[in-house]
Amino acid sequence: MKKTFIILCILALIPLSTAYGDIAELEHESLSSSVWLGYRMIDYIDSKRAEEFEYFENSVIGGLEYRTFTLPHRLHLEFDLENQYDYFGDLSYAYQDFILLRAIHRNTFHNWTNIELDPTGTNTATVRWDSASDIYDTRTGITDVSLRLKAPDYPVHLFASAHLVSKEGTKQQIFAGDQVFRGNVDRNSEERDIDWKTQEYKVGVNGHINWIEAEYIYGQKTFTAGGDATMVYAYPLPSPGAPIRNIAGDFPHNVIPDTKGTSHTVRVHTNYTGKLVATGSLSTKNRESDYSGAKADYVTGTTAITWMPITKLTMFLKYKYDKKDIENPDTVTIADVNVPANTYTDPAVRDSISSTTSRVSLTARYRPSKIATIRANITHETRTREEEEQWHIVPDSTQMNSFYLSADASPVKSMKFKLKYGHESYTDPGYNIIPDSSQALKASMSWLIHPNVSALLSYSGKWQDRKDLLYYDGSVNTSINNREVGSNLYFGNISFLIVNDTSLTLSYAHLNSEIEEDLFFHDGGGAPTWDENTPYKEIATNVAATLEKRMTDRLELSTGVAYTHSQASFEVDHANLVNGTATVEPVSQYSETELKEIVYSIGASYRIMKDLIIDGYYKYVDFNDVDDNIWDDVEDGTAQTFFVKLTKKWG
Amino acid sequence: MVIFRRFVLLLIIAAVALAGCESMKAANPIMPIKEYERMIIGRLDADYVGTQSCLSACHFHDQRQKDFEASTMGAQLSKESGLPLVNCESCHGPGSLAIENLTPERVKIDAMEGKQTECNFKTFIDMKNLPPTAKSLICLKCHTANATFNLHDWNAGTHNINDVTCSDCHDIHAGPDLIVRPRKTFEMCFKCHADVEASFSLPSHHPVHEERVFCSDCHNPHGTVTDKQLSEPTIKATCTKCHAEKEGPFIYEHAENTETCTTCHSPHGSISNNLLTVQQPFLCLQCHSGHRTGASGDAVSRGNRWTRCTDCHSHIHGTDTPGVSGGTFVQ
Repeated sequence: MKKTFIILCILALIPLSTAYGDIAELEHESLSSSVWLGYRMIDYIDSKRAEEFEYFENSVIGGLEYRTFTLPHRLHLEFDLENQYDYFGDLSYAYQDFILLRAIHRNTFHNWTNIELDPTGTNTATVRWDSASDIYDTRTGITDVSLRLKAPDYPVHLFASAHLVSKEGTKQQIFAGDQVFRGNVDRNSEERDIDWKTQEYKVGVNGHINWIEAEYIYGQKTFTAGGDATMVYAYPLPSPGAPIRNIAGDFPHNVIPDTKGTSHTVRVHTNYTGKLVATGSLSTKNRESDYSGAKADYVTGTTAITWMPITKLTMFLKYKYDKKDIENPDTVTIADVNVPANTYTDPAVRDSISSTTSRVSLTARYRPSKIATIRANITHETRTREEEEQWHIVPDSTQMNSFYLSADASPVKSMKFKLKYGHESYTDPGYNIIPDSSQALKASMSWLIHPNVSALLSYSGKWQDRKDLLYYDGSVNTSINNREVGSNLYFGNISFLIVNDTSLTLSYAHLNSEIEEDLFFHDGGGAPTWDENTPYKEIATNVAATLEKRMTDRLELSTGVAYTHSQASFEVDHANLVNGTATVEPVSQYSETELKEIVYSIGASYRIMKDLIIDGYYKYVDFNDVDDNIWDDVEDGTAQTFFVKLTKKWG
Repeated sequence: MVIFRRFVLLLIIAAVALAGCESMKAANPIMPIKEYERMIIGRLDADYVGTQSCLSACHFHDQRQKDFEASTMGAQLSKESGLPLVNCESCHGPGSLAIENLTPERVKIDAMEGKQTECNFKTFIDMKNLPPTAKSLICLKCHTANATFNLHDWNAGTHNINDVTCSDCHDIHAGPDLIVRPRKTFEMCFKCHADVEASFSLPSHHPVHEERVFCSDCHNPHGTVTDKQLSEPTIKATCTKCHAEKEGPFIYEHAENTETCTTCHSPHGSISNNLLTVQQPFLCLQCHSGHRTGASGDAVSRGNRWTRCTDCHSHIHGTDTPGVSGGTFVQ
């Protein structure tokens, strides 16, 4: 991918170099560029989680930005290097309006937590977390390239695009080994090498003929799993009665399959600028697994009509149709990787659910006056499913009806209010987290209190209710009490321009949410049991302040602090879930987490000469796993970053 | 497939056949919005005076001219660009009344005295007070004629319905940032979506603040067929652009939940690791029955199976291997 990007840069520069030969003859020339070079130091203590997306090695940093309009050529190039695994490039090249090329590449580093398996919570099981000291990290490269070619003197385009994703590195693969059937549980953790490549290419044609614009796109996507695409484990003989794998052997597990697929899309719309605008699109897509032969076909059709009978009123009618058809094999046979004749078979694979969804919505926007706008929307959605009977608690169809009302008002120029209320209701909701009814409220106010003081306050809340939760354990079990969900998000932000050279911004966000529902489980004898009205709560608060000051014409300072505190927990009452021992925690402990993160930063920018600037920046992050249990998958850590860079500008 | 191929062929033939037909190049609305078109024409008693009388004539606009020339639209001031020509008056309306009684000498004298020579800007189109639809119409009237790709769903898109206009995101006068830099997109989006910004401060989040993931990776601000302006027609199609290893299809699917990744994940940010909406095992117990717990108080037996669900059900997005009992995602 890196090579692709460099090749594109070179290709873009070829016509530019030709143009430079004629530069004296051109009337219009615009050029600006900058180059920077510096050094970054970074370090951490304990866990890398404090800077999850940083590569912890000191490095030279540098980059350039180059823009030239040597007409009719236009070129913009930006490249920013943080380290060997973290860089960004953006290239735009255009020749008149005939050629338009854009290529963006980024490489990102990701530190993964080495999740500790519970070493004490089992009686007869084995826990092999034998990679406790392993460090897992991945490098992700994403390249997006688009090329448009326009016909001379007519709005017809040919275009092509590519979306390329590569992920390389190591990840932790947790899996269950041993019997996992009426007996022991064998929890394992192993390092997995990954080398995953996603390649998606599209080509198309687009043009308009008077008031109609039409477009066709053909797409092709492949995913290739390199590295340890297949992992193998020496499974022992399971307990008698195991329904599928009832033999021992070296069998594959946690397979990442290669997949491929194509797509076709047709889009048509009328001119955008009229009282009546219509759009429509139809796309088909297929995906197939090279490993299993499973296939999926998707069809999406949409249409939208915008009609403005009078300038104060606009109506938006939208329809969307989605069809998903999944075909999985009826049987699957898994062979021992060393003794191919040693196989086990699932003779009756459950069919995947295929579905068809139709959604129609009508929105009206009305402006009674210059200072206010009202919107109203009604939406109806129907989803019908196939093969759902094999999934026992999934209904063959679900209907959703919703409406919302919203209003914006700006009684004075310095103040704006927004209010939105929405309601949804479901008939035969598909899964327990889908409510019977849901209400949402959003309100915000932005206010320019003074030419030097601006503020934003917002609130959003959501409340859901669902009765008759369904659980399947050979028969369908229905909850006694309702599931209730409530969440509130408060946000406030105020900015001061204290004097012309100093600004201060303060922000506050607070989130709290609660879910209460009956949890279903089985006692030691296998009898269905409920923990009633189990509450799950989350609270998060974020406070941040930034101060920017221009000390002199040459020196600018900025500093910031941000603090985030978050907690999550649930409480159980049933004795089977509450009671712990010296080695086994109450069930609720598994969902317990409390985290505090504080980030300090300070930066300075000094103009040494007219076009020569030196920047310095320091950041300290303290990530504190207050609760410090092993099940929240996070660990304490602090990280410090410092860089200094020199920037030279031209033009 | 055959229908698609025929359509493409037809489209190309039609385009080529009509290429010479000047009248077909025009992009005319079905029913013009005359009230708004009147607002963006400008004063009928004014004449067009050309860019040389605006940007380059006035000391006041020195920096603005410099910035503007650095933009694609600025390049369109010059015929050498080979682009359709635009100038100040294409958007602001004719300028003769604005510069009436102003002379180059007056501008020069004012500049020498450190004063800014103000033109009568009130005779231009009153951009700030235009209704949002009219404001966008200034841009759309040209961009529809050029067959601009990403505006297919603009009219019925969420931004247009909510009166977001082109100029709310694109600064025509500000150089290369006319096309918003991908790494800085979040700064622009959070001006309106400030409450969403708070999500990216939660312990598990997509690295948007860190400039590794861009808002435009998942959302298309120009309008799409989804309410959240997702860049692809469905949530799954959007997420699996980058997380293709979870796309499948698999022999054992997680019911139809993998079609809607947001059943289990909060894509902006969450308190729980891996962007989970809530902590395990509560996440899974919302829909699934818990394992046997052993006799009352038999915590050791319970400890066999009650932990993070994905410690055993590790291939939860779908799997191709059945394991002991088939389709339980343990291998």
